[in-house]
Formats: sequence, C-alpha cells, structure tokens
Amino acid sequence: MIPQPHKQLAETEAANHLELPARLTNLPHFIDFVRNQACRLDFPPKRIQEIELVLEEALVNIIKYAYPADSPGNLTIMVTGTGESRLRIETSDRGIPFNPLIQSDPDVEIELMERPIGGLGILLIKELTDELSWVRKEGKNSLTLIFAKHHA
Amino acid sequence: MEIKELKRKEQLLTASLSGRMDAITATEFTTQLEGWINEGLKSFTIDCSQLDYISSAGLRAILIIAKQVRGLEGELQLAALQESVQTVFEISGFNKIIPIFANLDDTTTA
Repeated sequence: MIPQPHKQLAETEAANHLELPARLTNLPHFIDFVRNQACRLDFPPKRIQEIELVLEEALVNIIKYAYPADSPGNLTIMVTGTGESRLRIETSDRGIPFNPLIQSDPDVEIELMERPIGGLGILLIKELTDELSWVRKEGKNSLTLIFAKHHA
Repeated sequence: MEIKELKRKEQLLTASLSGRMDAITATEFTTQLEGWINEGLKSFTIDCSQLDYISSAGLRAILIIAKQVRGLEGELQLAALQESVQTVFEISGFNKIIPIFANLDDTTTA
C-alpha cells in the first residue's frame, strides 16, 4: 500500500480566512482574496472567473438580506485548497437563518415580458460549483462551495 | 464598466460596453440606457466584445431595459459576447429572450 499524501495537513496549511463587515463596498476585497488563492493553486483563468461569479452571487445575497440595513454584521470567508485540484470556500454570517439551496429554481424558459426580475444568482451558484452545501450551526449560516479545477 | 455611444440614427443607438458588469456597476447601465430612452431613443445595439464579466446583477439590468424598450416597440440587441458572458446567458436562458449576434455587423440596426 502506498500511503496517501498528508491531505489533512495540506488543507490546514492552505487554510485562510477573511472577515469584513457585510457591505457591498467590501465585495472586491473578498473577490481579490479568493482570486489570489485560486491563482496560487493554478486554476485556469476561465474557472477563476466562474469562481468569482459564484462568490459574488453568494456574498451579495448575504450582504443584501442577512442583516437589518441599519445594523450590518460581519461576513467571513474561509478558503481552503484541498489537494491540488479543488478549492473549497466556506462563507459564514450571523444573520437571519436562510438556506439558499432550498429556493426553487427560476423558470428560464419564460418569455421576456413575463420574466420576473431576479432569482438567477442561486441558479448560477448551483450550475457552476462542483459541490454545494448549507448548514445552520452555532447561530451562523454556513455555505460551502467546492470547485474542481475543471468543472464537470 | 464603461458604456460608450458609437453612433445614433433616428431612434436607434449603437454603444459599446466594456469591463465588469457586477453588483456594484450594473446600475450604471440602467441609468445610462434610461437616460437615452428619455431622449426618445428606443432601440439599442450593444457591442459586448470588451465586456469581460457579467453576474446576475448585470442580467437584471439588461432585463429591466429589454422590457422597457419592448414596451416602446423597440429592441435591445447584443453583439460579440465573450465565452464567459455567453455561458451566463445560456444558464439563465437569456440567450432565448435577448437577440444576440456574433458580430456587430450582423445586427439588424448596426
């Protein structure tokens, strides 16, 4: 038996997090932070752009809806490179409980004038991640997004 | 993100869109296009060859304008989408509700 590489150790070493107030003006900081990690792991530019898009959609939801407008709380992202080929992003906030994954997908076949405005962000998240999960724990919403280097 | 007027002819205007159309910048598009609609223009052709990124906030802005101009019996057409932008249009089904052309020269108003 060939021993497996020290996967757990590698994850711990590559782990990194960023915590900032949940405001739209901080969005570029979160995106730059993740982009740098994805570049370091040699993700292709096309996949990095998809990661940026998913991250924007996930974070904008939190920024807009998690906290009351007059008292925004913090938003934390933790980025972990799992081995060479996968990037794991976990977002967490202490806002109102909200599971984005149980919202029904918008109908993308509706004609222009009948199309509702909005609802496409979560669809983009679902389509462009390789694994996705949500949990409410210790008073926090926690969304985990996993990206393979090459999206299946 | 930058929107630049390229030419106008009667009620038709051709413009180019460049940079990133995201949650921070997308309203610039709505504001500019609504300004042109208020000037009496009702059909728009947008060259997207320099548009590098679009998120659902950008789709939302495009949908708002597309509905407004359709209501005026005008049209919003897009040309020369980059591959990543094309992917977002396909996932959202926007490629079926917004006329998209491979080149600016192929559009009906250019």
